[in-house]
Amino acid sequence: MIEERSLISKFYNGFNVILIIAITLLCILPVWYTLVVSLSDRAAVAAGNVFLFPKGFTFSSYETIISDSQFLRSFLISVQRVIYGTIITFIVVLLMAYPLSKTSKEFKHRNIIMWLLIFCMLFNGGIVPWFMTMKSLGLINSIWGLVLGGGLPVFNVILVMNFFRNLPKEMEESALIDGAGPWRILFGIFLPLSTPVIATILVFTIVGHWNEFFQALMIMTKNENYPLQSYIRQVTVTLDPSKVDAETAKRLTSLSNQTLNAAKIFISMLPLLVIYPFFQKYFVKGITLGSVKG
Amino acid sequence: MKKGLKIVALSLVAALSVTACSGNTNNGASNGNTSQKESGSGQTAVSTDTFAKYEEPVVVSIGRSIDPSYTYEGNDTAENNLYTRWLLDAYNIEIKHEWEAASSDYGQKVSLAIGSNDLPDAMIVDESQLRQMVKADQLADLTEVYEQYGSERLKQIYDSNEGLLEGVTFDGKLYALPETTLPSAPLTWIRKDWLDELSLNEPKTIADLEEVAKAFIDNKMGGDNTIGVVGTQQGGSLYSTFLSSSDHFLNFSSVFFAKDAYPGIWVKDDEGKAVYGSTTEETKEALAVLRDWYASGVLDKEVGIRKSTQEVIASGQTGIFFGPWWSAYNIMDSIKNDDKANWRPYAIPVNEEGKFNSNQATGSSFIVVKKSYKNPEAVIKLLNIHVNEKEESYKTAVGKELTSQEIPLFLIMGHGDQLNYAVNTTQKVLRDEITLEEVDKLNYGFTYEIASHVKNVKLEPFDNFDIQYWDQESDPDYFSHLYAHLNGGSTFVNADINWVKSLVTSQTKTMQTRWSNLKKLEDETFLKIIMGSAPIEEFDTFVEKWYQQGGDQITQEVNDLQ
Amino acid sequence: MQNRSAYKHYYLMLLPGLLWLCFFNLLPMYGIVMAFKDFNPGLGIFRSDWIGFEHFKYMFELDDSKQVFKNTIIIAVMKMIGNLIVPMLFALMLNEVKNRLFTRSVQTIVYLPHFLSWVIIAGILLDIFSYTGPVNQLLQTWFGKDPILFFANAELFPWLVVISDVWKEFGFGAIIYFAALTSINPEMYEAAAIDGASQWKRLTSITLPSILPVAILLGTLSLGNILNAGFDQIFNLYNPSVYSTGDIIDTWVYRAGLIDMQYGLATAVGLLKSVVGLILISISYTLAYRFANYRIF
Repeated sequence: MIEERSLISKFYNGFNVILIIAITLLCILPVWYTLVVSLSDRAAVAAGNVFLFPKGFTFSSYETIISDSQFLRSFLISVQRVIYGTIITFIVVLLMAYPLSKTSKEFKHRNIIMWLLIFCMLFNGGIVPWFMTMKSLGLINSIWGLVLGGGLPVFNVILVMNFFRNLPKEMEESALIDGAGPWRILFGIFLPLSTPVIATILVFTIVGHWNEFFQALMIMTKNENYPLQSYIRQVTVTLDPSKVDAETAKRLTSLSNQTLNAAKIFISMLPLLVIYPFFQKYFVKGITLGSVKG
Repeated sequence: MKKGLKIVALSLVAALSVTACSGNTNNGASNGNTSQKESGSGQTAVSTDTFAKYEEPVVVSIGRSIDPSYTYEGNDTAENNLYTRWLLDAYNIEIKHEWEAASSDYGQKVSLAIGSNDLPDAMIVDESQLRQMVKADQLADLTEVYEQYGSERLKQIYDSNEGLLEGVTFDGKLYALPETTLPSAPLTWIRKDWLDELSLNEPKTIADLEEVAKAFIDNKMGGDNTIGVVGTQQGGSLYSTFLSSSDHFLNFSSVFFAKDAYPGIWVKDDEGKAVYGSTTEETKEALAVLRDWYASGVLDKEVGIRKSTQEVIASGQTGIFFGPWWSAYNIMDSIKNDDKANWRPYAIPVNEEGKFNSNQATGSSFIVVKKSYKNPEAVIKLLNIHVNEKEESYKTAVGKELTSQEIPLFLIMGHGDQLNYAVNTTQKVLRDEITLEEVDKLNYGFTYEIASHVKNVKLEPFDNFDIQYWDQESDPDYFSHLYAHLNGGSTFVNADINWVKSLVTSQTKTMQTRWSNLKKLEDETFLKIIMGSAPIEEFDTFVEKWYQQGGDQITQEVNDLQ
Repeated sequence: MQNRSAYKHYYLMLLPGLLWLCFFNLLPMYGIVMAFKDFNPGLGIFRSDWIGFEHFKYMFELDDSKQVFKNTIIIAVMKMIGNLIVPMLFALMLNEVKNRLFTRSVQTIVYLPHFLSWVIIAGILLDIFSYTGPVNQLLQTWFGKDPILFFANAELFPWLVVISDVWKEFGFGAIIYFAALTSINPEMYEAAAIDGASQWKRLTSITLPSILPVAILLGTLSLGNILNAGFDQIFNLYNPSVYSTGDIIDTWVYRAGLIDMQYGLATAVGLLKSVVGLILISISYTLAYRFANYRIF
C-alpha cells in the first residue's frame, strides 16, 4: 500500500520535473534561436532551415558589428540613458514614497496627491502635444528627453510606498521619540531596510529604459542620436515595397541581413540577461512586499 | 510608374550647372537676394537669372528621408556631402537638416511636424499630408516665385506633364512642386531557365500563368518549398492606389488588370459615372482568381504577412513575381546566388481580348515650403539646379554620380521619353548603328553614360537578353544599369499597353475624414477573401458597407468634379 | 503624534517628483481639449474651433471603434485570466520539487522573457511561426498537418497574443506565489503527513487556501488593466489581415492620431479609454479596501 503510493508519487514527481524542464526550455528558446541565427551562414538562414543549431558556423556577423560605429554609439546612448534614468528614478521615487506612505491622518494631503498621480498615470494628451511640450522644454535631441520624457514612474512610487507601509511601525516611533526628523527616518531607518524594493524599481527602470524605442523616434532628429532599441528597430524593419522605386532599387545593393540583425539583437539582449540574475533575490522580495501586505 | 524616372533623374543631376552660376553672377547678383515682392508687378521675367548665386549664404532647413544603410564617401553625410558643399560653393545655398528619419519612419515624422506646426523650411510630403497642410494654411504660396524663378527647363518639364501643377493648385494658388510621372506597367517576371527546362511556352493569360506556376511547384524547381507566385509582403498593398501610387513593385496589380479591374483608382462605369475601382464586379472576379490561386497553393501562402518577398526571390524559391521594368535591379541577389537564374519580363497576363492593361498612376511626392519661410525662391532654385542639364555635367564638376541620399529634396523630374530614348539608343550604339558621339549627351546624360559602357557588358547576340549573354564581371556597376534597361526596359517600351487613368488624383472633402477607415476596410476584406478566411460573398458586404460609411458621399463628390 | 511641522519636509520630499509630474505628465495634457475641437495645426490647439462632442459622435458611428473596444476587452480579459492562473499553477508545480539548486535555476530562467522587449520577441515569434518556420515544419513532420499561417489568422491571432504574453510574463508573475508558498509554515505539512494526508490532499487543504487570497487580490488589482491589451506587443505583431480581431484601442489611436492625422478623433478615443480606466481603478481600489482591507495606493 505504502509502496504503491510512493510509486505513484514518484511517477507524479518525475512527470512534474519533466514538465517544468520543458517549460523552462521554452523560455530560453528565443534567445537561443537568435544566437543560433547570428552564428549561422546567411544563405542557410534565408533558406529557412536553421533552428536549433547553427548551420555554416561563422562569426562574421559579430565581426561586422565591431566595425559598425553607429551600433556602438547607440549602445552607449542606451547605457547613458539607463544610468541617468536609474539615478533619477531612485532619488525621486524614494523621496516621494516616504510622505505618501503616511496615512491620511499623519499627512492630510496624501490622498489628493495620490489620486493626482493615478490620474496622471491614466490620462495623457496624445503624441503631438507631448512632442510640443518636449520641444518647448528644449529637450529635442537631448538625452534628458529620453530620461524624463516618459513622465513620473507612478507605478514605482506605489511599489516603494507600499513597501514602506509594511515596515514595522515601532522602529519609526522609537526614532521619533529620539527626536529624529523625516529625513533621518527615511535615510537612516527606511532606506537600509529597503534594499529589495529599491533593487526592484531599479530593475524595472533599467529594463524600461533599455527596451523603450518609441520616444526616440519622435524627439531625436538624427539617427546618430538613437538609442539601441530604436536603432535595431530601424535596421530590422524591412522596406515597404510600395515605397520602393527605381531610385531605391538601384541604391539597395543587398537585402536586409538576417544573420547580422540577429547578432545585433543578441548583443542588445545581453546586458539585461547578464544583470538580472544578480538582482533576482532582491526583486523577488521587493515585488512581494511592495504589492502584498506581508 | 511615377518613379520609373528616378534613374533618369540621376542623369539630370549629373548634368548640373557649374558654369551657369559663374557665367551669370553679375546678372543674378542684382536679384539674388531681393524677394520678388519688391520687384512688384513691373518685373518682366526676362531679367531674372534663375540660377543666380546668392550674395550671402541662404539656409534651407529641410526634413529628410534617409537610408541608414547607405554608405557615403569618406566622412560625408546626408547633410554634408559633395552635392551640398557644391550647392553652398556655387550657389550659396546651405542645406540644414531640421530632422532626418529612415524612410520607414519618415511619414510619421512628417505627420508629427504638421501636427505640432513645427515645420522645416521645406520637405517632401505625400498627398494627404499636402492636403492637411493646405487646409491648415501652413504652406507658402509658390505661384509667383515659380513664375519668376522657375527655370526654362523646369517649366518645360511641368508643361509637358499635363495637369500636374493644376493638381497642386488650390484656389488659384500653387502650393507644392510635384514629382513628374512616367508610365510604368507591372510586368510578369519569370525564370526563363525554368520554363526552358520544363519545355513550357511563355504564358499569355492568367490561366497560362497558373499552369506555369503549378509546373514550377510540381517539379520542385525552387526546392521542396517552391512558391508559385509571390507578391505583397507585410505592410505592403495589393495594388497601388490613386493616392499612393507606386510602380506596382511586388504586388498583384497585374492580375487585376488582366480581369479589367482597376482597384484603388477612380474609373468610369458603363454609364460614364465615376466609380471606385475596388467596388466593381471586375475586382470581385480578380479577387476570386487570387483566392483560387491561394487555395490551390499557387500563390504565396504568406502573402501580406511575409517579412521580405525579395528574400524569397533572392534565395531562388520562386520563379514568378510582378514588378516594373526596373525590378531587374532587385534580382541581382538572385543572380548572385544562382548564375543560371535567367529572369525575363513579359508584358502579360493579357485580358480576354488579348489586351495588356495597366493603370496610369500619379506622382505622390511633393515638395512643400513653409508659409513663413523668407526665401521660397531658394527651393525653386534647388529644383532648377536639380533638373538643369544644359551646362557642363555635374559629374565633371565633382567627379561622382550621386543619388537621392546626397541630393536634398530629391524628386523625379523629367520628360516622358527618357526611358525610351535610353533603351533604343543604347541598343543602336551596341549594334554600331550610331556612334557614341551621336547620343544627345546634353538632354540625355544618363543614356550617354550607360551607352558608353554597353559594349563592355553585353555579349552577342545583341538582341537576346538572357543572362548567359551578359558579362557580369568586367563592369559590374554598369551591368546592373544595362541589365535593367535592356532586359527590363526594352520589354516595357515595346509593349502595347492599354492605359487607364484615375479620374481624380487627390482627396475630396469627405475623404479627408473617412478615407483611412474605408481603406482599412478594403485592405482587410480583400486580404481575407484572398486568404480564404472570408467567403467571396464578403465582397458584396464590403461594397455595401463601403457606400454606407461615406463612400456614397465621396462618389458624389468625385462625380461633381467631373 | 507627528505634527504639522513635518509637512514642510514632506512637501520638500515630494517636490522633485511633483515637478517631474507637472512638466512631463500634466503639461502635455492640454492636448485633451483636441477631443472637443476641430484641430487645425496651423492655428494651434487653442485657436482651433470648438466642435463639442462631434468626434465622440463619429466614434460611435464608426464600426471600427466598436470593434477595437471589443477586441481590447477580449484580449485584455483573456490575458488577465491567463496571467492569474498560469503563474499560480507553475509556482505550485515548482513547489513540489525540493531540490533548491534546481528550483533556483528554473526560477532564474523563467524570469528571462520578462526582460526582453516586444520589438525583439515579436521578430523572433514571427520567424518561428512563419509558414516555413520551425513550428510548421514540426507540425508537418510529426502530425502531417498542413502548415498554418498563425499570425495572419484572425481567429488564432488573439489566442497567440494571449499565449505569448502569458509565456513572457508567467515566470515573473509567479514570484509572488513563490513567496506566498515559502511563507507557509512547514510544520503544517509535517502534521498533515503524520495524519496520512495524501499529496493531493495537502495541496487542496493547505497550499491552495494559503495562496488563494493572493490570487484574489492580484485579480482585483489587474481590473484596472481591462483596456490595456498591450500596445508594444500588438504593434509589433499585427497586420491588416488580423485587424478584425487584433486591432486594439492603443494601436488604433496611434494610427489615427499620427499616421492618418485624425488628431481629434484619436484624442477622443484615447480620452474615453482613460476615463474608463479611472473608473475601473477606483472600483478595484474600493473592492480591495472593502473586502481585503488592503489599500492599493
